[in-house]
Amino acid sequence: MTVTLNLALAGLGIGAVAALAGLGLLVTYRATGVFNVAFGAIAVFAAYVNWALAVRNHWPVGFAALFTIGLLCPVLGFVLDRFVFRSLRLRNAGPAESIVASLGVFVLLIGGVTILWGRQTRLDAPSLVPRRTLRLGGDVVVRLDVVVDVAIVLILLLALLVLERTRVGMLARAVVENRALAELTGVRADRVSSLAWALGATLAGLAGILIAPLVRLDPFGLTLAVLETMAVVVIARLTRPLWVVGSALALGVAQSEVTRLHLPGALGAVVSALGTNLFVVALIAVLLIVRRLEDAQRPDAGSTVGLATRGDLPTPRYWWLPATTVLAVPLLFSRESLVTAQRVPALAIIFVSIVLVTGYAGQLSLGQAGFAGLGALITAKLANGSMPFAGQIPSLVALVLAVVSAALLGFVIGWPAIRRRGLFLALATFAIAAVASKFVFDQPYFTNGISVPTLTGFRSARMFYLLELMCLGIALLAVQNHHRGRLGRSLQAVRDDERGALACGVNVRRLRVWTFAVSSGLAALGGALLSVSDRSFDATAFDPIIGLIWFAAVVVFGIDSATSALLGAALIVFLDSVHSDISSIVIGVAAVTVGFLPGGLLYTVRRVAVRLTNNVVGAEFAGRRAAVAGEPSLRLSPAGREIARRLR
Amino acid sequence: MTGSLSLVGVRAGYGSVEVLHGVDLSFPAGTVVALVGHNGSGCSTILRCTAGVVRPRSGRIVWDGADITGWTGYRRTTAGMVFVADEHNVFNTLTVAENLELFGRPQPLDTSVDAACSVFPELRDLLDHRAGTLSGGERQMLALARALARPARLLLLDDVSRGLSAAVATRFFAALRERSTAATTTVIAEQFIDTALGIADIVYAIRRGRVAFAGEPGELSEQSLATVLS
Repeated sequence: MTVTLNLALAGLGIGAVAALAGLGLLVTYRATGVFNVAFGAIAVFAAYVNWALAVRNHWPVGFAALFTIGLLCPVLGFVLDRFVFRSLRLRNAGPAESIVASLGVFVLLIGGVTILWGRQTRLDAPSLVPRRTLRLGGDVVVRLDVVVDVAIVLILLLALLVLERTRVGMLARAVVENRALAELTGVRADRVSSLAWALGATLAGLAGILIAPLVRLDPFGLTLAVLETMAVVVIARLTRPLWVVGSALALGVAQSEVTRLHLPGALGAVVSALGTNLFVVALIAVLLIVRRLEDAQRPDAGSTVGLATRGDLPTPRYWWLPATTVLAVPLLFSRESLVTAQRVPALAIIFVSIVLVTGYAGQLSLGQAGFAGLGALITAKLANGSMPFAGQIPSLVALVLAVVSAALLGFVIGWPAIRRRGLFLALATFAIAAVASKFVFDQPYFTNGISVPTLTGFRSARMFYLLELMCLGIALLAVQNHHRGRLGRSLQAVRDDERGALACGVNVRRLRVWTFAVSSGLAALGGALLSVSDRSFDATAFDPIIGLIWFAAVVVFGIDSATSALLGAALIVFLDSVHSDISSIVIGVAAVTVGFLPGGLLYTVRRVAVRLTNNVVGAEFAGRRAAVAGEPSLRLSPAGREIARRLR
Repeated sequence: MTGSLSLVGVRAGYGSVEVLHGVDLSFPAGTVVALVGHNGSGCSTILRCTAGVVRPRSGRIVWDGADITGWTGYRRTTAGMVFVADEHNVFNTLTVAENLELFGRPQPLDTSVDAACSVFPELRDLLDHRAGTLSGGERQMLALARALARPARLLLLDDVSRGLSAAVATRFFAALRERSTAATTTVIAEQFIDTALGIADIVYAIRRGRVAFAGEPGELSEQSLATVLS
């Protein structure tokens, strides 16, 4: 009994921090409509700054925390609103674009942290409250910091609940629902969102500083720990602060109680992983099981239409040339460079799988890293003969089997997950990747002593590279099939307007599950090739955080263009070979500016090129016509420019 | 002239499509001006440009002698402009009462409710309902209540009688005439041309993004209008 109580009290600490992070996320979402994925990164950034100031620069802990929470975080929130998200609002950008922009912030902050302070784990995060315990009578004890954390949360909850009932709350709701109308009725919408961003960032920072001493300080692990608290916001259906706090505290306590469970054997390790990862399990359970979850106020939350560029520009005549060149050139490289370049086709296949599922089918999928990792793991286990119920299998067959089984898995998971749309689907896929990472890739039971085989017949670097190109070719053919003809049109219809597509007789659900499964298979293929080219299975290479970076990268280069994905993969591998982590900074910067570069980098380049040439043609045409009819020079629509081009 | 509004060479559009190809219009103070035109002719875009929802690609919008082309929607609103759009013109997640409170700010709620219900008594029973649950006609009444909720110097009303019964529309237009003073300028875009001609002092017919006719309603019979617009 005493143990139960003590564990419950200890669990309240993590619960309180999760509640703080959740409230911050909720405030920003409710007042600006942006699901700020970057809140995890803001928390980690704040924790690191606090650590650096207090431990490295020997500031007093309270002072360092005050600086971080009181000044740095609000300013950061304000800057994000003013310089990243306002331009998106001005363009009336869709929710998908704001998710991408916040992913950019995420990638940038995490990249900054790893470059400044390294990826190693640190255990000396300073605690705000002295590490003392209070005796509550008998053997029941509680740590002082837990008491303080819970008190902070309760005060905040009360403040938020009061705020929601006031005029400010109503103004915020009005701004979220219809920003243009709110401005037209004289609400200073920009002020409301600046405030919400500053508050959200402050809460995230506070959560980061409080959670750091409870767990460990490492960029990816801590970020994931904070990101997992999204579960409580989803349980609260993105609306109710009371539910956020309640479910956070309950999950914290439950997670703490699970640590009492000790099962013998290797599977016991998996069960004990629950003791640190109950939040992500809750996230996936809620997203897969609860029937009605969609944000009724915004049925289109997460629509990716805004990212689409297909058909806006004429296809250039030699569109295939740059990508083909980039892929062919490594064949002339020396062996070492070729080994580095082997990552390019593998990564490109993963990117193309994202293009298929998000670009063409319009489903935000943040979980490709999970399927890529599973592909790598299954290939290795089958080829080693360490898979239960299967003997040793030739490595190429193992690769094919891994791809097929990942696609089947995508089908099985996709069936319940696909009911979700937009934001919730994105969260569900992210949760899948997180569960795969925590309960499979990180578990010695699955990954101990695993060695990645070389593929029979493709041992030399050159042969393997050719094999990769072949796989990439197959992937591209598969993807292209989803871009043309009846299937392509149906997919585009589903992406643009799901109900409309349904009304036209498109079997929306089957189509969505199908693309989800195909893209899972492709991701697995890419992941397997990636691990073979790396010669090892590295769990951190398939971290869900890496998956987020991949997703941001694909959007940055152009979400509905396979060519862009190829070039992007090449650029990333090149940048990473120059200096590790530099690619994430580049992706982060580009993603943050997605408000200024709609459609992605390649598309922007093409658009500028087209505009330059068209202006020349258009002006010429107008001049010629003016000479004939004596009319002033004309401005031409795109169709008019096209006609002008033909006339010339 | 105080209260007068003019558009000078305004071009505007959406994405790669240009809708207004250089429009010059003037709206004298104290008048009711009707914009008529077929679907897609650009009437709504003229109103949206004036309200600042759509940014003109070139040209100027001058109000009271000041160039307001670059003003934010908020600034226009505080200066006394009221724009009722043709869609998404109420807060669906707020109740009718909350909508009216926002529309009438900073007046107390009762004033706004009374102003609205004097013309649309139907709304009084619906005060606690969320606007999203109303019928199309009721929602349009609520949206139009914004034109009544507080004194405005420039009223821009798009697609006024959308979803309204003829009786309600007539009632609203009568109230509109009654309230307009020498300082208010009212611009309406209207589907029913008879109604529009009945209440307007000035009519502009818009055809394919250009002004096809400018004059008084009396100059325009229904037949001649049809030829102007076709």
